[in-house]
Amino acid sequence: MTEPAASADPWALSALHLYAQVSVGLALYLYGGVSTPAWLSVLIAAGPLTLLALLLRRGAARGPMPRRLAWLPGIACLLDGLYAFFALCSLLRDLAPDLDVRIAAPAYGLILGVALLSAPDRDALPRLGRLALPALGGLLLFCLLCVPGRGRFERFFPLLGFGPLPVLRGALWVFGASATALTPLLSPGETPGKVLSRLLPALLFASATAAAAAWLLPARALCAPRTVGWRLMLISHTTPSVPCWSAQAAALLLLLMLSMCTGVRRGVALLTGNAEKTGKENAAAAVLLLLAALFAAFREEETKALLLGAGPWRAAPVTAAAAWLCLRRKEKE
Amino acid sequence: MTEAMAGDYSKKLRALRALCRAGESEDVTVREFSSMGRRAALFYVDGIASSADMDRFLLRPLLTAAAPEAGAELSAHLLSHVLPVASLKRTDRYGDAVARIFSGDAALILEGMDGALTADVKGFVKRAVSQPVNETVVAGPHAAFTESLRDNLVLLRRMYPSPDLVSEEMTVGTRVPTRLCLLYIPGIAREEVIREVRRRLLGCRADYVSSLGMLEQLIEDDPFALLPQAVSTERPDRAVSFLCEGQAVIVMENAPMVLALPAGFLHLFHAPDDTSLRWQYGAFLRLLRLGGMALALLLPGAFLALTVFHPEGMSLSLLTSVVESQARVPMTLFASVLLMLLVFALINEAASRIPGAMGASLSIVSGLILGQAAVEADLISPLVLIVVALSGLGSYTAPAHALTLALRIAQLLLAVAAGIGGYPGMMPVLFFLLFRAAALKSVGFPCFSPAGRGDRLLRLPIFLQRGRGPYASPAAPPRAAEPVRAWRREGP
Repeated sequence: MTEPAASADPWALSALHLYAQVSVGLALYLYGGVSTPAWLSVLIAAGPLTLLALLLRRGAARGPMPRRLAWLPGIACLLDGLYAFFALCSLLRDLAPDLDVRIAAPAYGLILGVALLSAPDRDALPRLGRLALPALGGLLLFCLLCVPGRGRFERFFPLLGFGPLPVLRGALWVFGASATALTPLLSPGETPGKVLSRLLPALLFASATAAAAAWLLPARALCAPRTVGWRLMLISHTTPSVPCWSAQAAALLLLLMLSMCTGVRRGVALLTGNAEKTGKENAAAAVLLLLAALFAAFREEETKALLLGAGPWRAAPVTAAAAWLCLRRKEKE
Repeated sequence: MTEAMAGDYSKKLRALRALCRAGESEDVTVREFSSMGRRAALFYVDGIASSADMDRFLLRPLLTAAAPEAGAELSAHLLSHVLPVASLKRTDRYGDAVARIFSGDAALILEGMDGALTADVKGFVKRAVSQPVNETVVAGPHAAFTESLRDNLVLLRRMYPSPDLVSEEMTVGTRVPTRLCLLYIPGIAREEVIREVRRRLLGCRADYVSSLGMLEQLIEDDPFALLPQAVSTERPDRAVSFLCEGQAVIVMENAPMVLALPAGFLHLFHAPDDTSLRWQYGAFLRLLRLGGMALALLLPGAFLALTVFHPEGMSLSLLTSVVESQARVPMTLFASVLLMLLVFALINEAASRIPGAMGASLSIVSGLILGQAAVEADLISPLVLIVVALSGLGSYTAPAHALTLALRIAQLLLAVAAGIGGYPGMMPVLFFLLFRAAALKSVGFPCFSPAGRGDRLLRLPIFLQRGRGPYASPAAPPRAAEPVRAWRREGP
C-alpha cells in the first residue's frame, strides 16, 4: 500500500536529533574547560555542514553507498546514540538523585527496544519525529520565553571566552554533532529539498538555547564542573517557573530518547545496508540500545572518556564516506 | 445451506420447511395455495414481512393469474406479467432464499418453476430518523442514521445525489448473515483501499456480527492498539464528507452508525460542526480541544511527578500549598490521584448506564458526596480534586468516544508511571505510547499521515482547503477549482 507523500519525514527526525546532539555536544565539550560562544560555533560549523550536505547529495544521488563503506557513517550514528544515552543517564541522575541509574538505564533501553520491535515498518520513527517536532519545539521555545529579561548585552558576546582556537574547537564539536543528521541523504531517492528548511531552524534553535543560557549566567559559569544533565536543564535552573521546569524536563527526556533511537536505528540501517527485512534491523537496534544502556550505566567514566575523545571527530566518518562517494563518481565519469 | 434448489416442488417445499423450521417457529409461515393450476407456497416471517403488501402484491395477483403461454418460462412470466413488485429476485440456492425470508422478504416456490422468487415486502417496525444522540452540533444538519440499512442508504443518497456514489452489498456472519453495504466514490477513493476493505469484509469468519463495533474489530489492522483505526459516525453529512475524502464507508443492518476507513487521528480529532462554523471559530475550538486533550493525558502524571519526585521544579508557594493540603489526608498523593481517577472513571461508567431520569441523582452523588464531602472529611486534598476534574474535563473535549476512552487509559498508565518514577518514569511510557501511535496503520495507511491539502489539525479558511485528505486517490480531482471564491466584490 502506497503511503501518502511526506508521511514519514526523515528530516523532521533529523532536526530533533540535531537539536539533541548539539545540546549534548555543547554541554559535554565544556568539560574540557574550553569556552566558546555557542552561536559563533554554529555559524562557523554551518559552512562545512553545507559542504558536507552537498557532497552527500551529489554522491548518493547517482547510486547507493557500497556496504563496505557504509560502516563509516554507521559507526558515527551509533556513537550519536551513545552520546544521547550518556546525556540521558546524567539527566536522570540530576532529575531523580534517588534513582539508581544502573537499573533505570537498562529499563530505558528495554522500553525503547520493545518500542522499536513493535513497529513493523521503518517509517514509524521518522513519523514520530514529524509528530514530535512541533510539540517538542514548542515546549523548548516556551522554556526560552520563560527566561526573565535580566541578561546584560555585553555578556552575549564574550560569552565564555575569546580566541580563535577555542571558537574553532567549539565549531568542530558542533560540526561533529550535526554531521550524522545528514545521513538520510545517503538513502537513494531521498529528496534533499527540505534539508536546509528543516535543519537550519534546529541549528539556530540549539544555538539560541545555548545563547540564552549564556545570556543569563555569569561569565564563565558554564566552565564550572557541572554535570551534563545540569547543563541541559540550565534554563530551568535560572527561572523559578513550574511550567518551564516541567516542560524542559519532559521535552529533554523525550528528545534524548528520540535521539538515541535515531542514532542507533540509522546506524543499524547503514551497517546492514537497509536490509529488506525491517524486523531484523529493529531487533539489532533493540539489542544495541540495550547494550548502549548497559555501557552508559555501568561504565560511566569510560563512556565519558570515549565520548569526549571522539566528540570533535564525529563528522570525520561521514565526511570520508561522502568524499569517497563523490570521488567514485568522478572516477566513473 | 449452499445447496442448489433442484428437484420437484414437493422436495423444495420439504427442504425449505425444514431449513426455516416452519413447524417449530410460530412466526415462520408457509401459505400454500394454487396458482395457474399449479401448487404454490409462500414462505415468510410474520411481522417482518408486511401482510398487507403480501396480500396486495403477491397473493391476489397469483390467485387470479392466467396460465402462461405454452413454452413460456414460468419465472419470466411471473416477473413480466403477474407480480407488481419492484424488487423481485430469483434465487437458486436454499441458503440465499432462507436468508432473504428472515430479512423480511417473501419466498415463492411454484410447481414447475426452477428455484424460487423472493419479493421485498418488508414491513417490520423501525425507528424514524431522529436527531443524533452522541454527535450533537450547534450548526449543521440534525439527521442521524437509524438501524435500517435501507433508510441509512436513503439518507446518504439524499446527501449525495449522484451516480458517482457506488454501493456494494454483501453479508457478514457465517451462521447469521447480516447485510451491509460498502460505499465509495470511484476516482476519489483509492482502488487498492476499496479492494483491501472488501477483502477484509469477505474474510470475516465470525458466526454472527452483532454490531458495527464488532465488525470494526474484525477488520482493523492492529487489534492491540489503544487508538481506533476506523472512525464511526451517526451523521449522514459526516459520512458523505468521509466519502468525499476518498474513504470507504460501511453501512450495516441494525447499526445506527456507519464506519469509515482508512481513518487517522485527525478524523477522531475533528468535530462534526467544525466545517459548518466560520474558520476562526473552528480554529479556536480545535485549539481548545487540543489543549483539553493534552491536559487529560498529561496533567495527573505531571502533577504526581512534580509533587512527589521533583519538588525543586515547583515554586515555594505552590509546594507549600500542596504540602499543607496533603498533610491532613491519610493517603499518599499517588494513592489519592489514582483513587480519584478511578472514581472519575466509575462515575462515567455509571452515568452511561444509569436511566436518564436518575441522571440528576448521580450528579448529586458524584458532585456533592464524593467531591465536597471527601474534601471536608480530609479524605482527598482539594488540589487532587482540581487536577482530576480538570483532566476529566479535558478528556470530554475529544469528539470521538473511542478517543476519550483511549485518553483515559493512557492517562492512568502515565499517572502510574509518574507515581513510580516521576518524569523519568513517565516519559518512557509516553514515548512508547507515542511510538506505537506513530506506527499505527489503518488499512495499510499510517494513522498519523499529514493532512496534505485537506482539513488539517487547525481549521483553515474553507477556500484554502482545496485538496482532499491523504487517503484520497492521487488522481482525484481537487475539491474546488481555483479560485474558490470566483466572484468580485462590487458596489459600495
